[in-house]
Amino acid sequence: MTDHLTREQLLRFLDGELSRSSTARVADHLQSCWACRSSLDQLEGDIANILKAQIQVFAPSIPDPPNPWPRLEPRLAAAQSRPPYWKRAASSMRFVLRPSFAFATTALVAILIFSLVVLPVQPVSAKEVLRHVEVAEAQRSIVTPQQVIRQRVQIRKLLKHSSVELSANVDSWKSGHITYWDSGKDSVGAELQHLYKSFGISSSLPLSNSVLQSWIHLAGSEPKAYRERDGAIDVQVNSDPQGSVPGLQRVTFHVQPSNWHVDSMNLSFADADFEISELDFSVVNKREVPPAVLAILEPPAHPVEPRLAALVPSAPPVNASIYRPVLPNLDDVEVGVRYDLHRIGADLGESIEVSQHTPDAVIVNAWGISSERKAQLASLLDGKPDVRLEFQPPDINSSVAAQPARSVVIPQPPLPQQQPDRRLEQYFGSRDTEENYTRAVLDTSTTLLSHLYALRALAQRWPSNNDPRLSDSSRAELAAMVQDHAREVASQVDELKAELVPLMSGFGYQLKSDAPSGAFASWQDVGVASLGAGKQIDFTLRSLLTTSTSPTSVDAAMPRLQQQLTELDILAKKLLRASAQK
Amino acid sequence: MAAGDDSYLNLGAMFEAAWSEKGSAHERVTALYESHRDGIYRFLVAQGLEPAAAQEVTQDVFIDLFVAIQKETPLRSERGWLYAVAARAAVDFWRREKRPIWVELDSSPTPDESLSSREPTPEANALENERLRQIADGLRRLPKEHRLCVHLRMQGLRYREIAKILGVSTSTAAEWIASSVERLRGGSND
Repeated sequence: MTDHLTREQLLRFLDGELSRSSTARVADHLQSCWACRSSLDQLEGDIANILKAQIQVFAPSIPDPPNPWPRLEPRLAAAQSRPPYWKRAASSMRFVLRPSFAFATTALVAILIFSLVVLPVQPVSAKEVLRHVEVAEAQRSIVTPQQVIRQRVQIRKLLKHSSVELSANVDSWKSGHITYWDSGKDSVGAELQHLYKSFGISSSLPLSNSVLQSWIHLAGSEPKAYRERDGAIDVQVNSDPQGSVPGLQRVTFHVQPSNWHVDSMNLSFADADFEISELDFSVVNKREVPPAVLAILEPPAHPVEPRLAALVPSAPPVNASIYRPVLPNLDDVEVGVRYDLHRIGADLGESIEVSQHTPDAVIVNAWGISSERKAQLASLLDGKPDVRLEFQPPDINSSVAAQPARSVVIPQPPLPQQQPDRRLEQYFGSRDTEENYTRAVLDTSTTLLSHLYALRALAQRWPSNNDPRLSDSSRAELAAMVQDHAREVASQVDELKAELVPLMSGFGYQLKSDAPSGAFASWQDVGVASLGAGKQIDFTLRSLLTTSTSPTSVDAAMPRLQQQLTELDILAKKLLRASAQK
Repeated sequence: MAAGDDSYLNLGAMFEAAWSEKGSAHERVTALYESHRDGIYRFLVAQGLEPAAAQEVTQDVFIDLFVAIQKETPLRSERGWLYAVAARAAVDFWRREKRPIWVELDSSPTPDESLSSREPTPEANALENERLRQIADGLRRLPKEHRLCVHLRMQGLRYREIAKILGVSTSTAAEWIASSVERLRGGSND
């Protein structure tokens, strides 16, 4: 092995996280390489220092619990599950076999049988319930040609492993065979609609007899009905594991026997539950229907708008219902995608481009990334409604490629190869010290710029804080991304100050207490201004410390650094404040 | 005891054994709670949970452990299991909280004076303290996922276990740990 081992290889070696063959190779290399053995020792020392800092400084500085620790026993008692059946049986037998307890045991058994037979829910005929539901639905759906049906439902999505709950109210209208859902800007409604569409449940109101029948069919097993203690009836269908809907576990409908209406439905999947509850059902005059909705429910003979034309079949089959998907809100989808990428740090200069492909998809195109990163992106984005992941290098002949790239690849800091100003060498004392310093300061500058470019990308896409194209949840995600970047920018500027102030002091320059920075109202403005300042300071640093194409002297660079760093510092603080504004 | 009672004696012994298992699960979890609750609590606060919420979640973590023991879930290490469950709670918290996660410390971290120093001179001691303070400050400033990786590694979790908690690949977890160590080393060398 001629190349030296990387720090990550050494760490994996120390942590026992290399394969057997890699471990043998690394051990073999370490035996022959003094430099790597020294690096290994240094790494062990670093780990020891981190542990020491954690134990002696970090952990003790965390505030003590606000309350005295309560005893755990009461909660343990509450969490005590029943012993297994055979254990309970064994314990029961112990008492049953005692003659002195025979009478009491018999009485207990009688009470147990009574409670098992009488108290629980009563099974009823599912077939009979479904027949009643069908008749009731048909009765309440009778409309004149001047009327349409309107149903308003609440959709709640509960993620099973994270206690997260999302909800949305959806209005839907039905006229003849045409149904229109208005999911608004809430993604949950669109997600449910997408789910219906995926499994061919179309042309229905969100909660209706035909939906019920479709889900029973998809679940693939016999429905069972139970009367609850309050008189309501639950129809439950357990999904066949080999059934046509992956992950579906159970479908439950709640039926009110007073009018045989289905007032709620629960679709239980492996990872989440959808609960659809009817808030309102009414037959309304067409005059009360919003014109845009009516235009969809009653399309003109020939399509007048290209966007609608794609949705309206020219010759609908007589007895078939027409499914009219609501176009996804691509801005919401894009924010969701960008937020997901942000969470894994994929918005910091990698070749990953996010673009909207109207009318119905957001495309994430990644190229020049590792196969592991590709797999990570695939697991993150696959299966997301209205999102398409591609791994295509941009076509250099295409007009898109001719435009400036939206993803900015941050250049890696070049290594200094020559000394532009000998006073720097004298200041640092040795070439190695100066090289290490240059690496560190340019690394900080690069990280800073990557966050500022990410901020600018967001600012360009959504230039206003109250963009009407975005739902509340998308605005919250956008704000979270902005705040994350602003915080990181502030942290990197602090780091840059810690690195540059001593250098500037060495040549007689101090950080100014204030500097003109202009007045900015929004994070978008401050972000763009900060990027300008960041780029200037990066340019100055490269001119001073590296073999730049435009080298500069200490005398020329120091006043510029003083001015630029002061301004950047003020802007970073402003950005932090602006990002916190609602 | 009459000879004819032997049948229920055996059943009774099984019953007693079952209840002694229950007793032992209680005792095990209670003992772990006494010894590890403070560590779990500090771990959760270090991941950005508010102190009051962290205290609540800490108790939940031990209840989860109790349930797992009852269900005879195989546990490689009870301590590791506790930190893994706490970490999942922290990750869930991040997903719910759509705001930047800050780690609130009592004050600017300073070395615990009660711990004896091996440094030979007051100057060297001061330098060492400053170095530790910088590393601790660096830990606080790490991206939250990186900090969680480092803290879980400190608790003995393997890379694949850490990756699973964070929903990333093992190589990403390894990369985050390595870059964190590198960054913390840089902080100490400033």
